[in-house]
Amino acid sequence: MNQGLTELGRFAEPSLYILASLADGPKHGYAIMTDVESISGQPLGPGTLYGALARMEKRGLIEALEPVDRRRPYKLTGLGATTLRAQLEGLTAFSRLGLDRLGGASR
Amino acid sequence: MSRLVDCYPRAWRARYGDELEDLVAGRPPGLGGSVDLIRGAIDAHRHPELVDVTAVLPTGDEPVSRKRYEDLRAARRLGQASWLGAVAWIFAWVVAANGPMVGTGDDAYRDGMAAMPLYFTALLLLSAGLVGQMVRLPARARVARFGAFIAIFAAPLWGLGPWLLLFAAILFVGLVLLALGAWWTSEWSGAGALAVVGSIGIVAVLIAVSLVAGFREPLGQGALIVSVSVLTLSWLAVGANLQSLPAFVEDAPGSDGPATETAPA
Repeated sequence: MNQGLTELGRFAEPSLYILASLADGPKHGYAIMTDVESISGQPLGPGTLYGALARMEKRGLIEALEPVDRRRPYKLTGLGATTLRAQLEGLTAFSRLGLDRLGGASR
Repeated sequence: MSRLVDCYPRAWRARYGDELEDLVAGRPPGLGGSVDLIRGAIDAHRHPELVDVTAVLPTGDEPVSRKRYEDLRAARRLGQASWLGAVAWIFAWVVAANGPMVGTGDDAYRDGMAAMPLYFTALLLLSAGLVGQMVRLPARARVARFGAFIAIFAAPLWGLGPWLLLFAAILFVGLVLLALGAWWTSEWSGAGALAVVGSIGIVAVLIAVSLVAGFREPLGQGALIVSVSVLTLSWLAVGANLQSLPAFVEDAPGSDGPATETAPA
């Protein structure tokens, strides 16, 4: 599953943030953008946001819902949730490994 | 800044345009956001597969009326005329290159006047292909249509003599505008646009070098062959785009009902 996001190139990291943003329920573009910015602490450009959304929708990681006015919400699919979980578990294992080594080196 | 959304391909705008415009209107992007939008537009042009094109089909595949279909059939014939023009263009330069030598010594040159009818015919046929482009291109492809319009007149005027470089320059500008504008509006493929822009770029550089070297200094034989060869791509690209015909929906009054037909390309 890790490859599922890695192959997105420069959109891989924004995609991970977007998946995490959608983990607690559907959101439209504007809500995703502000949520991702609060998570990552970095601005997410509109071109990058929709480039990532298009790629994830194409891969079946997210699903577009019926638009409300001009805003279309997106929700996580089952595959998207599985991919996000795999990514986060990979990061957790990596984080634990790094912290363990740091702890060992400082002793 | 919402105008930047217009830089995205038509199919892409049909799918995401409303959302993106709403987003940009609600939170106008600064300089960084604008650059990000432009990068996104370039990315969208490079990856048309990201959007389901069946949602909004390009012009060549839309169901159209019989009248429009007949117009596009006529445009296809004009595209084939453009291809004939490519043959005439090559032959014109072959004839010119084999013309009789006139004069002696340093003043000797080949008399290429015998090639003039072929040369004029080639550029007239390119003009015909450009008329086909005007028929084919939708009104929203304004830049492309403007380029085709000025090239329609510049081509036969350059056909009056290869030394009329002002008309050559106008023709080249028109063709570049046509190619870039049509590509930008997803009416031409990237390969077709690149063929025209790339070939004209090469020829423009060669002509500029020739002019800098002195107006009497002819292009070298190799450079001339390269110029003639790559410019042929313009005739081919203009004609190629016109060859695919759409499916059409017959909805004439009194018919038994809508019927569809897919014409062979």
